[in-house]
Order: sequence, then structure tokens, then C-alpha cells
Amino acid sequence: MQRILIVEDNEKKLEKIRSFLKTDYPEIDLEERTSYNSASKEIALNYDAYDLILLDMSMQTYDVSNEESGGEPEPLAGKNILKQMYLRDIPTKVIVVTMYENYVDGTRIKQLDIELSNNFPENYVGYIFFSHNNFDWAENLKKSINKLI
Amino acid sequence: MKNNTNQYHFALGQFLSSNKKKDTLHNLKNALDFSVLSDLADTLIKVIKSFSFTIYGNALPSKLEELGKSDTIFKPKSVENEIKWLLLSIKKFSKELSLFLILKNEFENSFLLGDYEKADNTLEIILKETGYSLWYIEAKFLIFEYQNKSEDQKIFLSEIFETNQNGIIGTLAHFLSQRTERNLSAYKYDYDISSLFKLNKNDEDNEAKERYRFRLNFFENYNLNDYSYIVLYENRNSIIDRYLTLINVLKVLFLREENTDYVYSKARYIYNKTNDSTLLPILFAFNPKLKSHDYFESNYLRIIDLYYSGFFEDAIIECSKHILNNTKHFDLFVIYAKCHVNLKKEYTHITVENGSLVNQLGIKVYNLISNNGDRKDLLYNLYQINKNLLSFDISTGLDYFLKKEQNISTNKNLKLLSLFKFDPYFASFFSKDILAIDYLENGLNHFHSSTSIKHWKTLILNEVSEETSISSEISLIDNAKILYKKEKYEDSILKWEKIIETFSDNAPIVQTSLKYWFDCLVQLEQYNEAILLFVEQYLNNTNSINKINTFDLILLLRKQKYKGIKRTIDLPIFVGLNSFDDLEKSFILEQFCKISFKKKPSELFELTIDDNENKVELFYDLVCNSETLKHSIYINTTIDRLTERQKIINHLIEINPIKTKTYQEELNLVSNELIVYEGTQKLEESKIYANDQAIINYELNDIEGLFKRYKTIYNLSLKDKRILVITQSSYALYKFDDKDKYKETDVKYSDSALIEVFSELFDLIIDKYLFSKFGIVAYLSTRIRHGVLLGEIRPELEKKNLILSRIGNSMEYENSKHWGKPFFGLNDSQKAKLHQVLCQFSLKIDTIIENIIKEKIQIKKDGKNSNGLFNYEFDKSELYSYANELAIETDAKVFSQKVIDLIWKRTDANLEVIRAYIDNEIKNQFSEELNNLDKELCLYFCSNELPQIFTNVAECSTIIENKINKISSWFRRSGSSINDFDIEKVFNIVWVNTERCYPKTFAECDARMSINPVIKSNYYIHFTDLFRILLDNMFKYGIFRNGKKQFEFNCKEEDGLLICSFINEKNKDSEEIPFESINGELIINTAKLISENKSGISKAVKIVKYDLDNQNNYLKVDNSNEDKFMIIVAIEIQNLIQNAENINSRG
Repeated sequence: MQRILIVEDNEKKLEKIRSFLKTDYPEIDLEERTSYNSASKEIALNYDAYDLILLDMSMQTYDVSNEESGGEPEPLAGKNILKQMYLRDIPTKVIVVTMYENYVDGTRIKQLDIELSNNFPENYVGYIFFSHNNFDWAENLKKSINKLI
Repeated sequence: MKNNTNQYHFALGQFLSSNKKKDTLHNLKNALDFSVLSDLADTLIKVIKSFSFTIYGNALPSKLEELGKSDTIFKPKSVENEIKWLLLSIKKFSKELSLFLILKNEFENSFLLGDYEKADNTLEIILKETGYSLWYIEAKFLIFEYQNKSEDQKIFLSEIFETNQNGIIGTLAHFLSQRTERNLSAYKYDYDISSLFKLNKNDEDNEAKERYRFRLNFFENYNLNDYSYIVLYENRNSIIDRYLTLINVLKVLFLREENTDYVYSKARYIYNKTNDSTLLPILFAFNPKLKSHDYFESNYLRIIDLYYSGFFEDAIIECSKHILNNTKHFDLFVIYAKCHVNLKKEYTHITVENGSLVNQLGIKVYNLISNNGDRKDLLYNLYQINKNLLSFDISTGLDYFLKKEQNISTNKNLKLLSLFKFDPYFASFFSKDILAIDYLENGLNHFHSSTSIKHWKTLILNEVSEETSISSEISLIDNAKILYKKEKYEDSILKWEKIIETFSDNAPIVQTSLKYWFDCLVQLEQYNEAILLFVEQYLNNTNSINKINTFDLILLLRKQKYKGIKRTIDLPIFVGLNSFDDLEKSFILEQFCKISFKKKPSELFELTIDDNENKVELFYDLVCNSETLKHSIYINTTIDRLTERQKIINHLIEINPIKTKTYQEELNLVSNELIVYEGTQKLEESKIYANDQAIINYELNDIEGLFKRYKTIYNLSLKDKRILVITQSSYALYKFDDKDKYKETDVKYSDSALIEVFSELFDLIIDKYLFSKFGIVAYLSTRIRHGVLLGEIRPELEKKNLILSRIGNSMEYENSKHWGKPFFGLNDSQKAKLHQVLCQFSLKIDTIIENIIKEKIQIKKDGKNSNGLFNYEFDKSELYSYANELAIETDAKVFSQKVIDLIWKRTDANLEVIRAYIDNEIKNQFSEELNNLDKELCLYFCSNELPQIFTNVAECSTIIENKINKISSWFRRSGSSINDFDIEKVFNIVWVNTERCYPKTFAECDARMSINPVIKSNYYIHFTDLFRILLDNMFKYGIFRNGKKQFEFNCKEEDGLLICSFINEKNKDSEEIPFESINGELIINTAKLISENKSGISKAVKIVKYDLDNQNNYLKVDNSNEDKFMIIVAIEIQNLIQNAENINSRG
């Protein structure tokens, strides 16, 4: 069975992605992580269990719990995860799923797309722009997934 | 010639017959050759005298108000045409320019030598001879600044604003005044110029901004696409300003190696007119065989020869003599310093004027290259000095030197531009050996027996010199360099090793040798050896590796993912010292732990990870820091991360007890962070936060200069001086419109200088408070605006199928699939009606939410976000009262904190408004919309037709109300909203964290609380501070009994006082406790209050009396019991608690 890891900290968005995948790809097993730290850990230790990673770009450092506020917000945590994968020589393909057109540091998604394509050509497949208001993202994601899986 | 004559007559006819003469002249300017244009200009000013102004501008303005006046400005076609136009003026005013350059040189000499009176006299002669210029204005500012006449400087600036109506002159003068301030941070100046004149892709005034950047901060901004505007806009200024700007443009064109023949021909033309020696490097770079008497100066070359020959004492004397007459040769300062180093001689000042800039430059260069003092400070000080001296000839050499010292890549030809005299070193810049040899031969024709020229000939030809007349300091290095250039890296390494052995105490030689040794190893692909060399040498002397370029090796290792590199302790240290990427450091650290089958650095403590303890210490200190640990996959919470660092610091104290004080400081910081983290973790609902201390320490660390300016203006205001300043950042911007018509914006001035300068300072602080990484907006964006607020409300309505999904970004909504199900039995008409109602409702809800996020939860400031509820607009009267209130402060940090406190007051007021707005208006709006929905639905459906929808509406009313209550509670200050904090809680948090700081101390505390009052939020941080100080003292001074320290903490109420006792055991023969007290009551010792590493008791007293807002509170010491020592804190409780019911008796 194929597996996808979804790295996403926004519940609503996660829910929509999960729901889309469950509907359109019922045969695919889904795993979720919600912070930079837990996603990095999962990828570093179990990357070979996944055929694809759907990666959010902005998230908090740690998983939120009663004892943990989540740490500092990491506007480009996704980029760091890709960097981790690069250094660890992890070959798994990554699609970035983002709601942001501009990031906190002023980077625009198109700029980031070029940067990620140049720096992580082994992993980075491209980005999908997610919106709660439409389902274009789902169609685009479907096209990308179909090419990979 | 005939052709030129024809052109001339044709042009003259065209001009004379034209109705729009200025336009025609502009066209001719672009069309004609220089010689024809020049003849035409000569004729025109005879025929129509008023055209002299059009052609030559206001070259020598005798009055300040005339500066910046010009005839019409036309859109430029090319930089060549603009330069051609300017050359007409240079030709006409060549004598004045020659004189100016001589006087400028005299001025710079006197100024740098510290003779400010003489410099000022020279400046006044320049004013008399060549009139006002921006150059003059800046020079005058400098004189005032260095004569400690800051107030006069501001008065002069104000005079300029008042007298001269040209906004561009005002704007430039404003920044030139800042550039000359000694205490205003040079980095802040850089930041201001780059941010205020930030280029935006589609802005029409980009050329104006580029000009400001180029003109005001040349070395940071000299690379532009088009220099025509730079030359054009200067046409309004005096010939002095136009000339100096042109020279800078030519220098840049030279650096860019573009259109070289053109640059050479223009430089030569100008040199022939003005004798400007700063152009000589350009001329000789293009023509190494050039003859120029001025260039070949025997005294200068004698110094070089003495230095190369090892006659360092003589070189020092000659250098000193030379600098006293001519200060612009920066290289002489370096040679002067190196001679001292080579002789191991104590540094001697160049002039008797100790504070002169010549001496300051000299000593700082010496300290820098000989590793004396704080390198970072020295580099900054020199950078700051160079910011003041940007208009001086010496600045190019100094700028290059600073960049090389910091391994900042720069154009090597910049160095060349600073060599104004024949110097054999110049030969190294020729790309072809034959040109270099031509240059050296040219020198030999003048100086037949020069040792240095001969030595450089062998160097250029890569011949190992056996010349015995060259000092070993130079010959050995040059020979090793030749081997490097010949790619004989192993042989080169042997030489470098030998050199280091011979000159082990000569810092610059060691630095150069290590740089090449390292490069040789990299070239030989011996990366592990290169890493080892770097780390070992760093440990030996941290400054020895300063010249090594590690950037390329780091890139290479990263590219190969560190494969094939030994996972020794040296690798993480090397990466830790050279990579800016914490993630990369973390990865290497993890790899290092992995070889010992460990996951975290603290697990390595039990192992001998290296025999060299210094290396081990550096590893834990440098590599295993909090930022690196953040990326570890084995550290999964903030507390884990901070606790790991705590363990590491404690281990560091064990490794090197001598540095306990340093490590203890970090330990305190980490522990405090933990305390705050754990304490505030429970405040999840309060989302408004700004980290004051971090803002002050990290974001406002260069506020000193601006603060000094404020104090200067304040002092002037006390003397009732009228001072004008530019207000509202209204710097003059200008552009050509669609019809190529020149337009300019006005500058606004204000005579409320104190308020304006205070506003600037206030703005800087509020800007950091709001928008820096420690500021409110960062937290506001993440915690509330980005999806969080939307995510609280909309999903609840979606769950109940009351709100529809939007179609794309349109204002239309999708049909509800839910209500369309057959189960509900709606016909098409009913479905259409329902859709219409739900669409209306959805639109209204989305509009409310959007309005809250995009309109209300925004920062209202500087005219932006007029509906924002975070209102940070301050009117003049408020700022005026703040300015007066805070003017007494003399410390910039205290001042910053007080400003932040004032801003917090505004924030608190804003939060109250926001909570009220949400609790009332927003709640009502949602309630109203749900009611309307109910009504609308009732119009079309009976309650039994579609019952579920009505139930859902009713349910949502409660759900949404609760959600809004929750949202409202977010708008409280984090850290101040522990409304329910009690003594027990705060004691426990502080106890746990203090205990962690003493891992080797087994301690127990018997805590007894007969009352546990609930205390107001704003006292939380003061209680943690107080308890922390007292518990820390117990750990420090309490004695061990049976292997442990036994403490007691008692809390009770007595006569309206909260009495907290902190008790530890002591020896019978304990020394008397050195606390100052009156009748047992401890008092504040002011010196101790601001000092560190003491018991902190003074601070505790200060907290109890002042931070807890009651001077009747007190701290007592009870040393009467022979076994126990007791500190008693007595706090009047009434003010601290919310209400009497909150005193939670445990009796």
C-alpha cells in the first residue's frame, strides 16, 4: 500500500486535504504531522515508509500540547524540512501545499518555487496553492499526485 | 575640422532661430561632439549672457540660499552626454577646481591630524574661493561634530533648512549631518538609507532614490544600471559637488571595467584640467607607461623600500613624517602598524594630538592586525570613522581594508583606487604580466635602485627571489605564495609551516600563512586536514584564522552533503564557527552524536569525546547552543530544549570552572526563560505579547546615537534656540513624468525640533515594538490573524450547514449539497430561495470576519489602517508630554524601556477597546445576523418544513457566542494575564527551575502556606524575580547537612501583611551577613542594585518596595538563630489581590 505523509498544522486545511485524498485515493494510507519538529523526525527516521510528502511551508516548531505552546512560529519551516532531507540524502518526493502567496520574510511563493527547484531538485516537485474558497488546489494536487504515484 | 565648423554654424543657427531655446540647447547637448558643443557654449554666453546660468549652472554660489538652484532639467539620454555637458563647466572652472582640490587636501590633512581650527580656517577659505557646496556643508558638520559642538551642528542644519528652499538640498543636508555624527550607529545609517530609499520595481522616483543612495552611502550603493541621472541631478549644485560626483561616477565605471577607453579619455581630460591626483590610479591602470611627475614620489617609495628591506625603524619614522604632511594614503597606516608588529615594538602614536583621527586610525589598525582588543569593536569603530570620512580621499583605502579584514568580497580594483602614488604593489592588479612589468619598468626609470620594484618584478614573473636585501618577513611569504601560484601546494605548505614557526608572534604573518596553508590543503582536497588545521589554530589563537576563507569549503562540503568527511569533534566545531545555518550545525552535531550511539549532546557527557579539553569546551559551548538544538529531531519540546541547554551549561561549568561566571550568566538566562515559559504556558488564552527585553537588547542596541541627538536638541530647546528639522520623512523625491517633464515633491520642515527628534526616536522604538521579530505584530499575525480567527468561527457555521463555500474568490457561493438532499424534500423553487437566503447570510458573515481581520485587528499608524483598533497614532501633544517626561533620562536603555512602557499603556488601552468591541459589537453583529437568518427562513419555510435548519440556527447562537468570548480573551497581554496566579504556583515554578541550576546540590524545601492569595497578573513577573533571588541565595549560601541542603518556605498572613519566610541552615560560626540594614530591615544599596554577581538582595528590596508598589513593604534578615538564617518578606497584601475573597485561607 502506498503512503503519503501530510505535514500540516492548520486543522481545517488538513481536514480538506485529508478528505480529498481519502475520497480520490482511498487506497493510499495517510500519516500526519503538525509541526516542524515532529515532521523532521518522522521524515528522518521513517522516510522510506512514504511515497510522497505533502508539505506545508509555515508551521510551529513543536507539536502543541498541554505543556507545549508550539515554540516559535517558523514561517519557512517547510524549506528547512527540505534542507534536512537534502543533507540526509532522503529521496522522497515533496509537494508544497501552501495558503500563502507571500511569506513573513517577504519571499513570494514564485520566488520560493524557483529557490526550492534549484536547491532541492531531487525532492521538490512543485507547489499547490491552497484556498478554503475553491477546489482548484484539489485538481492541481490530483494532477501532481497522478504524475508521481 | 571643416565638418565641425559646419556643425557649429548649423547648431548656432538652429539655436538662435528657435523659440524654445532651452529645449533646443538640450537637443544640441545630446547631438553634438564635445568640441563643437564647447565652441557653441562659448559663443552663446557672449550672445545671450543669461544663458551662462543655463549652461554652467550656479557653479560658485556665494549664498547658502543659491545652492541647488538651476535652470530647467531635461531627461537624460545617456551618461556620456551628461558627462559631456558637465565637462563644459569643468573646462570653464578648472582653475577654481584645481584650487579647491589643493585646499580640500589641506583641510583633510588638518582635520585628520586633529587641528580642527586650522581645518576650519581652510574651510572658510574654500567657502570664499568656491562658494557654498554640499561638500562644504558636510565638512562644516564634521568640524562642529569633532569640536564637540553638536548643538552648533544642529543650528547650522536648521539654518540650511530655513535659508535654502530647495528640498533636495535640505534632504541631502539632513543625511549628511547624520553621516558626520560620531555616535549615531553607522549600521543604522546604512539601514536608514537603504530602507528610506528602497527601490520598488514600478516606482517612478527610483532614479531619485538611487541618487540618494549613491550620494549618501557610496561604498554600499555604487553599483547602478544607469549613472546619467546621478550626473544630471547634480547639475543644480555647485561645480564642486558636480565635480566630486563625476569623479565618483568615473571611479565606478572604472571598477566595473566598462567602456574603458571612454573612462580613460575622460579621466585624462579632467586630470589635465585639475591635476586631481585621485585620478592617477585610473590613468596608470590603463596606461602603465604613462609619464607623470606627480605620481612618482621618491619619499613615498622610500617608505615602501625601507619596509621591504626590513628597515622597520626607519620606515616608522618616514611613515610618520609622510602622514603628517599627507594623510590620504591609507596603506601607510598599515605599513606603520606592521613595522611595529615586526619589531615587536610597542605602538607609538603618529602625532602628539592623541585624540586625532590619524592616531585613532593608526592605533585601531595596529590593534586589529596584531589581535589586541575586541576585534568586533575595532572593526565597527573603524567602519564608523569611515562613515564620517566618506568624503575624504582616505575613505576608499579604509573601506577596502575593512572589507578584506572581514572576508567580505569586494572589487579588488577598489584597492587600486586608493594608491595615489607609484607603488610596486599596484602591479599585482594588471591582468597581463607584460603590463605589470611595463608598470614596474616605468617605476625603475624613476627609481633605479628600488628594492621593492625589483622584488615585485620577480614576483610577477613567479620567480622565487633569492634577493637578500628583502626582509625575511616579506621574502619568505612571497616565495611561499609563488609556490602556491605554481600549484606546488605541498612545497608551499612546508614553507608556510616554517614561516609560522619563525614568526609565531607576528599576528599578520601568522594570519596570512594560515590562510594560504588552509587554501593549499583545500586545493589538495585534504579537507579533513584543512578542518583540523582551522580548529586547532582557532583554539590556539581565535584571531589567527581571521584571513582564512572558509566560505568555499563550506559550500563544497554542503554540496557533497558532508560525505567523506571524518565525524571527529573538529567537524561540528568547524561548521559551528563558519556556517550561518543552525540547521546544518544541528545535522552535523547529530552525526557526531550518532558515532557514539547517542542522540543528544548531554548523553555524551559520560564519554571522552576528545582529549583536548579546550576543544570539548568549545564544542559544547559553541555548537550545542539553544538555536542549534531547536533543529534536533530528538529534542521535541521547548522545555526539553531549554533543559538540554541547562545541562550543557552545567557541564561546561564542570569542564572549566574558571569561566563559571560567564556560564552562570547564560544559565540564569536559560533558567529565566524556562520560568517564563512554564509560567506563561498557562496563559494560552492571552495572545498579545511583545518581548521588551529582547527588543531593547537586540533590536534597539544601536539607539545610542539617535538618543544622543535627542539629548542635544533637548539641551538646545532649554536655551530657546529655534531649530528646524525635516518632518514626517518628507524627503524630496523627483522624477520625470510621462511627458518627460521634471517634477519634485516638497520637503516639510518643522520648528518643533525636540518633538520631531523625539518622534523619530519614539518611532524607531514603536516600530521595533510593533514590527520586529520580538514585537506585537509577529505574535498577532501568527496567533490571531492568519486563519486562526477565521478557523474559530466559520467551521462552526459550516458544521451546521448555515454558511456556504465561496466559488473561487468571487462573492458567489456554491449550492448547499446538504439541504439539497432528497431527505429534506425541498422543491427547486424552495432550494433556490434557501440558496438565496444562505448566500446573503454567508456574505454577511464573511464580511464581518474579513472586516475584523483586515480592518479591525490591524495597526493604526502613520495614516494606515484608519479603522485598526490597535491604535498607535500619537498626536503632537502626547509626544510633547512624553518628550518632556523622558528628557531627564540619560541612559538610552532605560529611556527605551520607559518608552516601551508608555506604548504598553497604549496597548492596554487598545486591548480594552478591542475586547469591548468584540464583546459587544461583534457579538451583536453575529447575533443579529443569526436572528435575521432566522427571520428570513421563517418567511419562506414553516418550522415543520425544514426543522433542522431552525434548530441549527438556535444552536449556533450559543456556539458562536462562546467562540466570541474565547476570541475576546485572546486580547490580553501574555505574561500579565495570570489573573489566577497564586503564591503556591509561582513558588513551585521558581523552585523547580532554580533547583535545575544546581544539579549537584541535593536540596529539599519544606513549603508551608497557611494562605495562598490570588494575586493580580501584573505582579507575576516581580514575584518570580523576587523568589528566584531568594531561593538562589539559599542554594548558594545554605550549608550541606548529611549530604543535602534543607530549606523552609513559610507563607502566612499577619496584620494585613503577606509574610513569606525563606529559611536555610547555616553554621554556628558563619560570618556576619554583609547586608545593609537598619533595625534588621534591609535597605537598598544603589551600587549593588546595578551591579551583578552579588546576592541580589538590593534588587529584592527594590522589587518589594517599588515593583510591588508599596514602600511600606520590607525585607528583614533574621540571623539570631544560631543554626538558621532567615529572610522575611513582608508585603501589604491589599493592593496585590483582586478582591478580599481571593485570599484563600488554608487554615
